[in-house]
Amino acid sequence: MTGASVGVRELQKQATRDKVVEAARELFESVGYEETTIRMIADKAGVSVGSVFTTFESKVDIFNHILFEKFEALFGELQRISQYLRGSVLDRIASLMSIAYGVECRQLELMISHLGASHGWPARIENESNKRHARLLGLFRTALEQGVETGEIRADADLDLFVDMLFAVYLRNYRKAFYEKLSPEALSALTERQLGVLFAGVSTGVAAVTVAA
Amino acid sequence: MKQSPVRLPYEPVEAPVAPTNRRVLSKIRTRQKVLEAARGLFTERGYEAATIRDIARAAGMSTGAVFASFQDKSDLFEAILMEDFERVAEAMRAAAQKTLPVEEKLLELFAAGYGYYLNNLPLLQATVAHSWVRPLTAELRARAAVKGLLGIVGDALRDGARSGEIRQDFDVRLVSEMLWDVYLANYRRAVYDGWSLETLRARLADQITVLLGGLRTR
Repeated sequence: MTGASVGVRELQKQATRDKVVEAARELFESVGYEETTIRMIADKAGVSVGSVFTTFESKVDIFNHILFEKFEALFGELQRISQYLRGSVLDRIASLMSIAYGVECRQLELMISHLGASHGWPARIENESNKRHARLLGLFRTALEQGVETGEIRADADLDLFVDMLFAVYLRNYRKAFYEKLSPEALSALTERQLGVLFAGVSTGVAAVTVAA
Repeated sequence: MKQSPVRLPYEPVEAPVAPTNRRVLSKIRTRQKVLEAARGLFTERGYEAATIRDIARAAGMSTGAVFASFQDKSDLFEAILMEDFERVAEAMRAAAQKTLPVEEKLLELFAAGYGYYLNNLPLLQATVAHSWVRPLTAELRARAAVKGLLGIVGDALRDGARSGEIRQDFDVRLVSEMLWDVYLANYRRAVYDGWSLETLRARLADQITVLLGGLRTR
């Protein structure tokens, strides 16, 4: 029956995909992204190079599949935590970034490879990446909007622009962490100073309303 | 104490001058040819896809001749990157010479960078991608070069502080680096969203306003 055979084929395809992802994950972590080849992934997964390419378009697609899954988990966690955060908008956003750094710095090489690959990947992946990160940027934006409501952030501040700048600084810091060998703590301290500069440009000067925990 | 004989600067050196010069000149010419060919191929295909073999062929020489001038592909790429860097630094320094309010001066300075690289976007993209994965020694050399550019930005900020436009007591390095971060991040929009020089400029002007917002004295 056609229906059944399609089902089997789909299952096989999914099984191959899982094997490829698992093999790639191990190789990226042990050997590194740049050094890993599609052939190495195929060998480790016990499938042909051709089968790898029927499940993923390219190496960067496999890599992103793995990283986007990680981001999804992290951003979900940040979203959960964000409702419990207290203090000024600056404090809250600093906390979100700090938690993210704590998680991502455990596999900093992979993050650096990911950001490296991001310069030059096709537009389709850029769109996907933007869509994924919109979740993190949404958390920043929500905190800022609350700040506008409490009068902490100027009502005429361009929040899109500001979120964009937060994101630019946030991402570049991974590079600093990597090359200057900053600990997550040092990175968080640097971020707080950066946020101090940024927020001075949009804050009303009214002290943060501290919400009692 | 016995003094060693002083060697006069015009004392003739042992090797005959002309052939050495000729050899040096031909070496420089080879290097230049390789650089030009490599620039073309990196621009056309990106860093990974351009091979030393292709570059040698485009330059009309053997791969051995390429390796006589450059250690490897990364070394060759770095030489191009540094050439560009020097040109951009020059454009930025020229912009920094202008007598302008601090925000406008910063804008002019970075716009000089955009102006240069917007005509070389594929190469810039390859440069930035490579910058994330290059060996540590290359990273350190590149850092030294960026530090020079950051110095120009820092000087512009210090001028602003001196003229009383912005506060005296702020971390110049921190602010310079953040300006640099947003300046670089905007290139993504040029690559993926086709932003023009005018759009980039307008965006950066707004970003500079936010970044200096807390530093303004009036």
